[in-house]
Amino acid sequence: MRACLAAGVLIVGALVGLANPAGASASPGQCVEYSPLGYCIDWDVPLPGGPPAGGGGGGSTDDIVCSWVTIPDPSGDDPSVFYDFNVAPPPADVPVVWQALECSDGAPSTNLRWIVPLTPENIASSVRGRIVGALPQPMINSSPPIGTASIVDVAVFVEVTNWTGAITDSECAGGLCVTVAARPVLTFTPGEPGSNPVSCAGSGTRYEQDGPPIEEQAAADGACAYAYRLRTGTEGRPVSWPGTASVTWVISWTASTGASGSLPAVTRTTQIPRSVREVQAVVVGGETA
Amino acid sequence: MRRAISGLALAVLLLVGACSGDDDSADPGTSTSTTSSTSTSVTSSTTSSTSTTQPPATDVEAVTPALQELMDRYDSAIAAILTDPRVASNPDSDEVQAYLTLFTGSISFADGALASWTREGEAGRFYRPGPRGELTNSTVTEVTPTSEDEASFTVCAVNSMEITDSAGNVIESVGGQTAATVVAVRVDGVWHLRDLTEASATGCPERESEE
Repeated sequence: MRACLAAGVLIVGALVGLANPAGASASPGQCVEYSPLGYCIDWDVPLPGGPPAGGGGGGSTDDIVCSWVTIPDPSGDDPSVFYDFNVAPPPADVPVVWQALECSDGAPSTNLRWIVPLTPENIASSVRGRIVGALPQPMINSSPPIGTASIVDVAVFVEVTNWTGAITDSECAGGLCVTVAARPVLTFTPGEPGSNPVSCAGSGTRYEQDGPPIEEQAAADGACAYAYRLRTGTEGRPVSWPGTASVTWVISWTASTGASGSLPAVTRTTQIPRSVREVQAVVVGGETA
Repeated sequence: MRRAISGLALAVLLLVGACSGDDDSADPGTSTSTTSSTSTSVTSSTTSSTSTTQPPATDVEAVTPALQELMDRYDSAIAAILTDPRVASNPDSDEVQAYLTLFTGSISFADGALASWTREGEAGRFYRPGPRGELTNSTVTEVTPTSEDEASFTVCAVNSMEITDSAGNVIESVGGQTAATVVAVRVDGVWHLRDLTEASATGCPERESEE
């Protein structure tokens, strides 16, 4: 078997210029480009019978250069290409470009691929995925503290303590750079029947004990505050209202070409259930007696 | 498309196929050997937990399984890294350690590959096996001793990969066969990789998709 294998390889090697193994002991120099499989495809000092300089794979002599060449969709005429080349069918409704690795020696291609063409949208989508994976769950500080009942008609304040502000990330590929920005928007949903979500400015509002009256703080533009009107725990009502604080990340992208667009937003929500009690009290100066 | 394979390659395939039953001929002389021995500058081995000395390169029949086992471990190591190439930037990770132990003490080649994979990860490209079920499968097809402690051999790798972005969308699927010329050195009785250079797959036997 080995004799035949060796003979076969030598025959082909002689005919198509397979690498000369005798060069194996030569100093390999420094590899400056690798294939995904970890093979060197470009040495700084080409070896005798070594790889093609900057080839992109597949060649074996300095004279042989291989590159991916766009071809018509081969699966239309011959669906067996998926099987023959161990390539998965492309996703439905996604335009792809088919390419074969062709070498200057004219040898038949042994590699086939399809790629989703490089567009700003594709790059942005990739960057978006990276950003989304790093978005934090909002950590909430509230007044009164979470777990403490609030009082009817006395405002509850909510703020996000791990507020990051806008997050940006960029990626360049094929001479095209895309920057994706995710801008957080905080919404406080009291959870009380009849209540509307409160659009909060920035990271929310912290109640300032020594500040203006509580009603004034709660009424400020963009204040992240809500005064519950219905007590909990009475017949027909839950022990707490299912309040939430949601940070919605509005995601947009801009490309170095000037193109821009938006991508699906992502929301991170933290539950802040709130029990509400009613007290007969006189409110003076923003503090309950 | 594959049916358009040239007569030349087909002739080789037929030759390989016709020879598949005569493994009892164990003539080491069937492998090309060079007359000039080249000294290697390898000074140390990575971890070697075995006291068994592996066969010398000059015993081609005996060393081939050892080199095949080395490439099997190589395939596993790079598949683990390519799953999330960002791991390549962490020299303490199990994936990187498994990869580096395959190489000789002089591992600048491996360091370069790790840097390349790190860039892949930073670009949001993640690899997973394609329909064949494994990312790559290398077969040692030819061993050429340079000395007792150094060998050059060819590997033919059957590949089936899907590349996804960081959101999990498949952005590329690639398959087929690649080849590499590999240089291995024996240090302290154990074979390690020195470098791998992409080569023409023309001489590789045609492989069925399902093995």
